[in-house]
Amino acid sequence: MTERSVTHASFHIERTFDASPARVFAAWSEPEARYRWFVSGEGFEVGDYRHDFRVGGHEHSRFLSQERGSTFTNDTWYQDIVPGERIVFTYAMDEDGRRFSVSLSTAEFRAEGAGTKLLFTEQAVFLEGADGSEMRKAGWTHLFEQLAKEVTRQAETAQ
Amino acid sequence: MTSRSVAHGTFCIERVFDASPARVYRAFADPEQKRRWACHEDWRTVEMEVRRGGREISRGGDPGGPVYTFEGLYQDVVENERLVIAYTMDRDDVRLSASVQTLEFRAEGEKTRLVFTDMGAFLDGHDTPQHREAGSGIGLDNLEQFLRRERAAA
Repeated sequence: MTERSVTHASFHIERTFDASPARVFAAWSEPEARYRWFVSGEGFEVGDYRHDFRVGGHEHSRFLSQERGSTFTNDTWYQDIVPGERIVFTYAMDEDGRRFSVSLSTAEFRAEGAGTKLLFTEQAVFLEGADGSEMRKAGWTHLFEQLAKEVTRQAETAQ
Repeated sequence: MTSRSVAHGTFCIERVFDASPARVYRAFADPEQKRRWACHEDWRTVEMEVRRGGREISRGGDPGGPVYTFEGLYQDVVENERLVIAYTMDRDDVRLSASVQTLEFRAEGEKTRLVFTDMGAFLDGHDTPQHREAGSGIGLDNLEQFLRRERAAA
């Protein structure tokens, strides 16, 4: 019989970007931009990605981890969107069909001078086989590095 | 202009029920059961399917007042052990909150310890974690009375 365990944890990340809230928000809302910083990455192969950025929208992505040799899926549901200001979503992750986490995430975009302060809060339920709070926070921190590159790239392309 | 804010709150309620985990779980997972303790004239379950990916929708409010809608999606279902549901609460067209709720049914001798954990993002000051916790507590009081009546009738 599987040893059952559930852990509840919250974490918070703040990070600034050299772009307006509208531009940082657009990197989430536009499919090609999001694919570049959020979906694609080193160490895994993207099998599937469906973009559906709207309240009530459901996004599904599937990717193969080269290191683990297993298939991960991410199902995301958007619950609140205030353009340029806020995104609230729930996402669940599975490894080889086994759900290991369910998270409620809030991303707030606040103008700070000519830039943006991102305030990201995650409230997570970690099930059996989960990475846990520290690793999850590190994962998002890395993604926000990718987001910063995307936002810079867009600004350079626009010049 | 609306003042935007998000308040994050987590609460955990533990209750011990004089019934087996299977019995308490059934009160939550069986729509006919749940209606008997969770619903009343001002609150009805419209849709309920307890399986991963299944939806639960309930609606109600005071007559002539705003309509509250609970809309949830089951994220993890382990029979007699655990339910995880992601849900939103709306008042008419206004989204009050988004939350993730975990119910764990733990055997304690012949009884069950229900561990109810609710993590929420409360939007723009429309509702608060404290108010949500109080409402959840009332729901569990109703469950306790329901199970007690059943034992007394046996």
